[in-house]
Amino acid sequence: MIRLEALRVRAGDFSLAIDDLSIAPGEYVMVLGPTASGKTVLLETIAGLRRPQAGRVWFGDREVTSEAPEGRGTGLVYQDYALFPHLTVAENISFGLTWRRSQRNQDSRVSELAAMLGIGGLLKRYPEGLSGGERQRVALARALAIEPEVLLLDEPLSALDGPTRTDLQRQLAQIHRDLGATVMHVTHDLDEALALGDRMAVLMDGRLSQVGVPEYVTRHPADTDVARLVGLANVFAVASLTPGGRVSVGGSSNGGVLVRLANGTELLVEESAAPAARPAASLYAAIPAEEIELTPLETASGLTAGASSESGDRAGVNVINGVTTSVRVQSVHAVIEVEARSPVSGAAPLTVVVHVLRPEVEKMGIRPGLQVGLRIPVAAVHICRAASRAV
Amino acid sequence: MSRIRLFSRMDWVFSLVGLLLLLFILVPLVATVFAVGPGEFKEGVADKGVLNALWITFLAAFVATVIALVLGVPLAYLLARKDFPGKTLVEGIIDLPVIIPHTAAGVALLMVFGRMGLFGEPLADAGLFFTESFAGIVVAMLFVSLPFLVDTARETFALVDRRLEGVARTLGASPWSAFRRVTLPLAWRGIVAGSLMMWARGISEFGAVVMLAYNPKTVAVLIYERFVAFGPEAAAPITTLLLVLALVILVLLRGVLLPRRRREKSGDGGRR
Repeated sequence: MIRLEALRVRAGDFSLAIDDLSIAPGEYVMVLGPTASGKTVLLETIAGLRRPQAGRVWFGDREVTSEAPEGRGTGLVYQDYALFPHLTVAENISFGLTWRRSQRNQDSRVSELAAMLGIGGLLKRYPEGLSGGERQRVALARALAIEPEVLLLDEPLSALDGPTRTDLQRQLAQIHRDLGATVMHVTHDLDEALALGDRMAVLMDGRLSQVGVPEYVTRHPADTDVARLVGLANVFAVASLTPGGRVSVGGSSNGGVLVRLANGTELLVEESAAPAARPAASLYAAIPAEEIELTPLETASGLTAGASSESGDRAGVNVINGVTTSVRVQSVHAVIEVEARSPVSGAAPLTVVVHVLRPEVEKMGIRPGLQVGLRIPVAAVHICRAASRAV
Repeated sequence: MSRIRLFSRMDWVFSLVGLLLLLFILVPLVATVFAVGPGEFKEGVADKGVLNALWITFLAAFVATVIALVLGVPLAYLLARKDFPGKTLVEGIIDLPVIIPHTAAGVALLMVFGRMGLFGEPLADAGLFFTESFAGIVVAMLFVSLPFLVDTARETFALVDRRLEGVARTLGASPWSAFRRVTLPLAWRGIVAGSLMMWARGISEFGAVVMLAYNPKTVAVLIYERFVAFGPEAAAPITTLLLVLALVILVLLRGVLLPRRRREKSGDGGRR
């Protein structure tokens, strides 16, 4: 549906460069990126509010690169709603219908949309009296009124409080299912990206770092910047890669690679997770904190207190030992930092972050200063490259 | 030992200093009003010359304001929205009439709009004269007071979130409809306020007007004439009238501006 080709957009000192991005009809694409990564510029370019310096924008087989915004049929929703303050809710929603429908058709379309979004009671009100969630629903209704082929959402949920956000998130998914519009939704919130996106495009400094299925991207980040953005707490510099050995993942036996981290710790990973033909110095091992299993050594039945930290379980799990240094309790889980000794004497210990569900934390009596064993599944370790810019 | 006060010592000193300035403005005005008895006021004002001067003054200032609205609002929009080379220069040119002496402005206008002037000569052939005429008063008022309208309109346009125009465009509005349906309705208060300010400034203009047209007489010229001929007491009744009218304009201005402020505070959007 949308295809961006060799796109270059300048906005002040900032420049957006997208070599190739295709979005299928009806696809819900999340654009994840930190502040000032060019997310808004990207949406405004697709909407036709910014003129690219170079490249092309296609809607299906129609090239719209130089087409004015009013001819494109995109619905644009901003984080802070950008409602017309001088118009009532009904007038806001019907704004785009002026050029499309008769007055009577407008009214019926407005009530239809208002009913769908649950804002039927607000039609005569002005935006200034509405809550954030109500305003965002009005903005959404206004954008949907013109039956856009492309819906562009610029952090539509970021300014809302928790419950309202969840509610509207559900509604967005529903609307997408019902209307089948192609959606590009910009966010800096990983949970939102995971909840809504068919695919996720990671934008960094005006460039696409990675495009893929959200679940895949969060486990297999292309580089250290993406790893950091998707919340991978454990990103360790790699010293060397040595192919060899077998690892068993999900019952089948695959080729393995022995990864030696900068501090000497060794981890076994799947061959497929470790790209060949790269200088190992620019590689990093990324491990999701929630995939590491933590067991207190005093009570663990399968582990002995004397287990060497360098011994790996060749069956599919890496085992390293360490001492907990901090426990930070959050809403669902606790963030636990473990200092794992290096097998090389004198080398710095490895600080590993582990997420443990709160009931488990209480059951195991996890506290700082506890001797623990960490079981890191072979399949959980992903080797990524250093970010293109300085790390 | 210093304590937390609602009104600190500094605030008191500042208030006192500010009060002096307020008195400096108010005392002469109030004194003039009280110096004029009701009888004198009636006598000095109920004179065909005075009413005529009032009418000419208000109308000329109004015509000048309308001209500035038509020519100045589009320029104000461009200055608020677009960046272009020489923009600072354009803004400087617009503000020029504020800083040059108004008699100098009058001389400059005479050079161009006078009978032998660049515009004056061809227009005189067409029957439009700018010296000793209503048109001359309009030109003088327009020149010296247009910055008030253009600057206020520009500031107001700048306050309208440009993304509102962007959203309007994506919904199907052409640049013209986006301006008419979104930008203008959101900026009209500022434009009206600027127009009132310009109109008021036009009414009070003396220097430039008197250079181009001593006749027909505006109120400011009439006050000057009475003062020169008969002294300040003779000029006081008309002055009083003008002060009262200025007060009315000021109240109108506040009335236009205040609701906007309230709306802005609780208004929608406006992240950048």
